[in-house]
Order: sequence, then C-alpha cells, then structure tokens
Amino acid sequence: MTRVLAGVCACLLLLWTPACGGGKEITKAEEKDVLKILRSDKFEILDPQASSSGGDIAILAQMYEGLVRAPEIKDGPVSVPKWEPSLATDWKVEDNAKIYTFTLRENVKFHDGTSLNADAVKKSFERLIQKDHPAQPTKRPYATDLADIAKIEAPDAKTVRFTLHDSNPRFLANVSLHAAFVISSKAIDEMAKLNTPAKREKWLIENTSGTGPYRIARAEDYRGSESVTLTAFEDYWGGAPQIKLLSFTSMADHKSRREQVLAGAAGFTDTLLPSDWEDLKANKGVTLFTWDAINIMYLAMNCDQSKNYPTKDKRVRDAIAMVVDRTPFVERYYGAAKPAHVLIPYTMPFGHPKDYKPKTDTMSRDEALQTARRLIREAGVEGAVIKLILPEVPRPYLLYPRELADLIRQQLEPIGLKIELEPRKMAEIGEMVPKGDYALMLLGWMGDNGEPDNFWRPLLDGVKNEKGQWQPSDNNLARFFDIEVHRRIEEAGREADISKRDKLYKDLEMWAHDQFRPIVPLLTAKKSYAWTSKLKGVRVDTGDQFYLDKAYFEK
Amino acid sequence: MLTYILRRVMATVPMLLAISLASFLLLHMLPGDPTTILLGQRATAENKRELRSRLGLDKPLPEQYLLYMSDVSRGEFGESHRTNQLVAKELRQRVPATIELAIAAMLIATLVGVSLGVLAAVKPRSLVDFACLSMALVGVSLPVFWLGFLAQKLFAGEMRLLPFSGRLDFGLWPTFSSDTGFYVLDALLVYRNVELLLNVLAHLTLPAIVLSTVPMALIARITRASMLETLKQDYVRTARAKGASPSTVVLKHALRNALIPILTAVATQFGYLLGGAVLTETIFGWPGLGRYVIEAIDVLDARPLQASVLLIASAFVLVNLLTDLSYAFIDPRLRKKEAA
Repeated sequence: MTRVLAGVCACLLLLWTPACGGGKEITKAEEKDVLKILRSDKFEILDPQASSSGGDIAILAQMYEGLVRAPEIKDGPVSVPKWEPSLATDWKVEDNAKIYTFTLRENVKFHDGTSLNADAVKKSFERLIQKDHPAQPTKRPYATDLADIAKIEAPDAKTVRFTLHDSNPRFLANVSLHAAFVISSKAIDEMAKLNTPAKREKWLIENTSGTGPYRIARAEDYRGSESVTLTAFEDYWGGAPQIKLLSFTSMADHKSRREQVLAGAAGFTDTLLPSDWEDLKANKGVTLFTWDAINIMYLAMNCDQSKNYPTKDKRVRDAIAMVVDRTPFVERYYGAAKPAHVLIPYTMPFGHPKDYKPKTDTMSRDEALQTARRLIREAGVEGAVIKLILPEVPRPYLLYPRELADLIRQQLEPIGLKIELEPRKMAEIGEMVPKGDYALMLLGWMGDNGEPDNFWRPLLDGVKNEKGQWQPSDNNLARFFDIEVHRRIEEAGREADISKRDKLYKDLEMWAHDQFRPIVPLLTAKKSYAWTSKLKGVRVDTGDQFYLDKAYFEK
Repeated sequence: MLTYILRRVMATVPMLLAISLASFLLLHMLPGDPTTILLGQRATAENKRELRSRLGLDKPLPEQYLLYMSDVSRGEFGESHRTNQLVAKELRQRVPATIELAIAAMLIATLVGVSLGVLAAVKPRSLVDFACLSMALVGVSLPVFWLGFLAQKLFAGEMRLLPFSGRLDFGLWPTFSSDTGFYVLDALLVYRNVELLLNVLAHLTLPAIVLSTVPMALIARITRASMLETLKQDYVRTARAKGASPSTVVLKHALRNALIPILTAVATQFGYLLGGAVLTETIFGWPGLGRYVIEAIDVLDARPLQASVLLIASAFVLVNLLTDLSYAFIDPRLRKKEAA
C-alpha cells in the first residue's frame, strides 16, 4: 500500500512540472500600480440607474460621470450648493428654473470608444425616466428624483436641453446623483437587444460604458460581492490615472479593515468606528479623513390618529422630546457626532436654523422631567407599554442601534412609559412603515444631494393615493402629514432664490416642531475614510464619495 | 452492495423534496418585504409594485413553487433578487470556495487530531495525555471569532507572514480567472505557477487553521477514546506477544480497528463545514457558501436561500452515504454481513 502511494505521488510530481511551464499565461502586477480598497459594504449592481447601495456607488463613481458633480469637501460645510462641471462645462437655467441647458465637454470618450454627444446624454436619461424603455434596468430607485423631466432635446451635438413640467431649482442637485451618470448610446442600443433586465445588467457589468477614469477591463474582473478589479482608462479626458489597478474587496468587519490598513495590507478603506480614530490618527502610516456628513439619526413618534398608540397625542410626543438627553448619545460616538434638534442637519449647505432649538429642548433637566410626567398623566397613558422599533444592524448614522435604543428606554422610564425594544431587519422595517404598526422607531436618513427637500419630502411630507387622498410618504416614519407643512415644503422647493429658499426652510423648522413634534432629532454623525499615507491626491466630495482619478503613490 | 447503495440513494429523493418544500414555505412565512431592501430606503410604492411584478412575487405561492421546482429540475435555481445573477452561477463560485476551505481544514484537523488522540491513548494519564487533552479542550472552547482575529493580528498584522483575507491577491494577479473554482487546483494544474500557488496557499492557511480547531479537538478526543478501547483488546495483546514493534501494534493493528468512530466524526464535521463556516468566512473575507446564505437572509433573497438549503442538505446526505459505504471498506466484517 505504501509503495503504491509513493508511486502515485512520484507520478504526480513528474506530471506537475511548473518550472517547465506549459500552464495558462498569467501576469503579476507591480505593487506600485495597485491600490487595494476594502469596502464595508458589498458590490452587486453595477448599473448606475439601478443601484442604490453605497458599495456599488463607490465603484460606479470611478467608472461613470454625470453632467455636474458635487464639490470637494474642504473646510467645513459650504453655504450654498455649488455644483461643479463634469461632463458639462457650463449650464444655463431659464424660465424660472424650468429649462436647463447644458454645454457638453469636448473630446470625451466612453470606454467603448464612442464619443460623448448630446444624443448620448438624451438616450441615457430616457432609459432612466421611461418606464417601458427597451433597455430598461432591473430597477429604478431614483427615477422619481428626475420624474419632472418633460422633454429632452439635443439642438446640436454639444448642447442638451431639459424642459421640466414645472419650475424646479433643485434639478441640478438631482442631476448630480449617481443615477444620472451618463451611459454610452452604443451600450443602450446593445442592451435593448437583450430580452430581460437581468441580462442587460450583466452585459453592462461586462461592458463598462461610462466616461470615468476606470473601467472593468474583462468580464472576470467582476467577481460578484467578493471583489472587483478596475483598470485605468488610458483615454480618460482628464488624463490617464497614475494608479493602474483598483482592487475592491468587500470586508464587512471593521476590525479586519482597520488592521489591514494599519498593517499596510490594504491601501484604502471606509467607515471605521469612531473608537478607533485616535489609534489611526496616531499612526504615521495612515491618513484618517473624517468629515461632517449630511445625515440625521432620529426617533420617530407615530402621529397616525387612526391608530391607538399613545404617541398620537401631542402631549405624549412633547413629553418624550423633553426628556431625551442627547449627551450620552454623542458620548457613545467618541465625539464623532453632534446633537441635532431639527430635521435638517447642521452640515447641510442651507436650510438649517443654527442655534435654534424647539421649546421642548430648552428646558432644564428637572423642569423637563416634571413637565413630562404631568403631560403623560394628563394624556392618561401612565404605565403604558410602548414598543420601540430599531434596526438589527448598524447604519452609517446609527452605529450602535441597541445601545442607543436602550438609552432611550432608560430616559423614558422615569416619566412613566415602559419601553420594549424590538430590533428588526431593514426589510421588515420597510414593510412596517407604510402600515404604521408601531409607536416609536429609531432610524435616520442620509442626504443625497445637499438639498433640504431631500429630507423634508420623504420624511415629513405625503403623497396622494389612488383615491386622491393625502397619506404620509413611504419613508415617513412618524406617519405624519399636515397640509400646511406640505404647502410650505412645496413653496420652499420651488423657490429659485437660494437665500429665500434658505429662509423658507428655516422658518418651517422653527414652526413645525413646536406645532406638531413628530420626531425627536438626535444626532448627526461624522463619517470616515482611511488610507495609506503614501497615497496622495484622493478627492472626497460633499456627497461622501471618493475619487481616485488624480491619486498617486508618493515615492 | 449495489442494492444497498441504490436503496440509500432512493431514500434521499423524498427527503430532498420535503426539504425544498419546507425551505420554500418557511422563507415565504418570514416577515419583511425584499423589494424595500432591493430598492433602498428611498423606494416609492410604485417602484416596489413594479419590482414585485418583475420578480414574480405577486404570483400565487403554489405557482411560485412550481416555477422554482421547474428551474431546479433543469439544474438552475433562478435568479438572485439581490444581484440579478443566476443562482447556479453564483453557487459555482461559492461552493468550490467552501469545499476548498473545508478540505484544507479537515486535512489539518484529521492529521493533528488523530495524531494527538493516538499519542494520548498510547500513554494514558501521562503528561503527554494531559497535554493532548488540554489542547483538545482549548480547541473546543476557543471562540472562532476571537481566534480568527488573534491569528490575523499576529500572523498577518504583526509578523506579516500571511495575508489577512480573501482567496487571492487579485490586485497583484489581475489576469487570474478560475477554470475549476478551486484556486489551488487552478494554480497547480491550469496555471502551473509556483508563485501563484504560494499566494493561494498563503491565503488558505489562516482560515483553514482557525476552522480546523473545533473538529480537530473533537477528532482528538474520539480517537483517544476509541484507541484506548481498542488497545485493551485481546488481538492487540496477541500482536504484542508475537513481538510486533510498538508502532506496528498501534498504527497497523489498533488504529485501523479504531477508525470507524473516528471516520464518523470526520464525516459529520466535514458535513457541517460544507454548510459553510459563517464566522470564519466573515472574518477572513472568504467568499463561501456560509457568507452567501447570510447575505441572502439579510435581504430575504429567496432563490439563493432555497438553493443553498437544498445543496447543503444534499451534501450532508452524500457525506453520510459515503461514510456508510466506507465502513464496509474499512471493516471487512460489514462487507461479509451485507453480502450474506
């Protein structure tokens, strides 16, 4: 038996003669040409019009570009939204923000070799906004953001004109979204030949068709949520990138990502826990980049009068708002968060009333406790058991869901409310919200485009149902709707003058919370990226996105 | 023997059908709407309706099950709602990763576990026995996530001997594409490249060692107990009396006869590992079946879950079948009994 085994091993060794070659050709890249990027989230859908996850967008932003782009984060928040040229070098806003005309950049090539022109832009937008487009994507989560486009025209090869149904000064903000990244005309024609959206998506992954500095060079470079390798696009209009390969790997565990960046095994990562920031800052081999992101974490209180939850009584909502102390919440973030008292975060370019607090938030602790106890007694809900719904897993603005929910429980018990925590999956939460089957919910929101409308409309506004009746929007956790609030959101959203728009939103904040108190804003959390200190030229924009077209390794 | 094999194989068919039905129904009973996850927090009711219709989630449950089973009968498992990729294609990537890791871990666990068990049994109640038993106890007790992080920090972070995570350094090997799904085999037989092979093995080492600790400890304890029992047998005493060397007595006479319980333990543990080692795969960024299932559960992605449950159940059944058959190979008495 032993002899047979030895014979087999000897034969195998003889057969395997690596030194003599004979295997499939493979090349090894040089370390200096590769940036290894670890992402906390997965990459699954690499169609800009179909994707809504951060992991996908991080990759898409290296491969595709829009007409305008968000500005780079510099010192603190900007006072007005300032869109920068990208594929459009210039734009004109006419007819009270109803007509937008863009002049396109010259000499821009798509990855498939075709040139950027007005027809390509028109076709790309049509694929996003038309429900039954022949090259329809698998899903269109951002289609409603651009649904007000009535007509797209291409008067000449370098000019594209959008006519909207109504005036919309926020249109540029929406055009900066990743969903409005331009896909080549040739690619859209090819996708239209395929019979299912899934096949089209697969085709687009294997045939990257943007204008960005990187592309997927071979179908094998996309390995699902495991890893994606991007290759530099040598014909990029901004000049060929210096780093030739970007290797994206999905790594959910923050400890692993931190260790890999500290050890130099990875060159770039995102979302590190604030508790690790000091260590990372102290390490000379790592650059830690943190910024005040546009997000809010809040406690929503169900205002639906048709439900029998204690929170339908404003006295109960006021009492809860009075006794929530934000200090321990902020402490849990190791200083990487600031307390919030209104809906619009302080990081937003405008619409945030600085230093303003609703009346419930200005009381001393003792006064707040006494008043809250009285209100709860008057409302007749003393001893009521209230369920607090929270997400099972952390969110970028809610890093410690269970601990923070427990803090709320502890703070509400002294006023006579018994809080039961109920962690749920995000899919379940999404289903619960339109039904409104809960009293309290702890969650948050991340801004997409630097516009207050992007917070007010989904979170505290409503839409008309099939019967023409108003109902809270699907993301309106507080199930709150008031026609006057709706009117004021509409009015502010349509105001073209930015300083007047700013005032309208601020006035709305200073009125709505005292009047209705549907939510308790809790905090705005900072975000972070970390990269090897040898890496220079990284650009991070106010939309929380990083860009590597000008990045290089310092010698 | 053939009748026995056929009987065993046939018995698995209704079992797998029942598993497919149970997994299908259970998944549909779970609360939550997958379209919310797929579309993100910003989804409107209209977007959700459109997606539900495209995914076929608006069809009656029996129709959905029949569609699913018709896919399965063609060797397909439908499309993942989450990635829009064919589940069969995704499984072709995930399953080899899990099998490769499971084989490596079981090789380590079996070699070390059996050796420790034999050593402990040969010198019972000695210092060696105590040391081996302690190692086994530590192996069972150590939480995998803790050991994984420790191993990563020490061998990848401090000593920089091994990579932190993944199956290969894709950045350095940008043109690598797997023909077999098994990277070791690809490096060895397809590319025949020593440097690539070393990179693949380096990535495999830490997760395999970490994953092997629990099965290794169990195998060591079972080997010890089985060997202690066997070493008391008359034929072992006879072999010693005939002047056989201690190593021949232990390895040839005792170990072979002690193999059946050890083999059962190895097979059971291997079956578990085929189901995916979620923690190890998560810590080491290993793109295996365990992580695939967890990712699918997070977004209530039914097709990948149903396919994975079927596959894991089938793997268990197959491993058990092979174990039963191997008993006959190891123990000639069973062959004779079956023949009779």
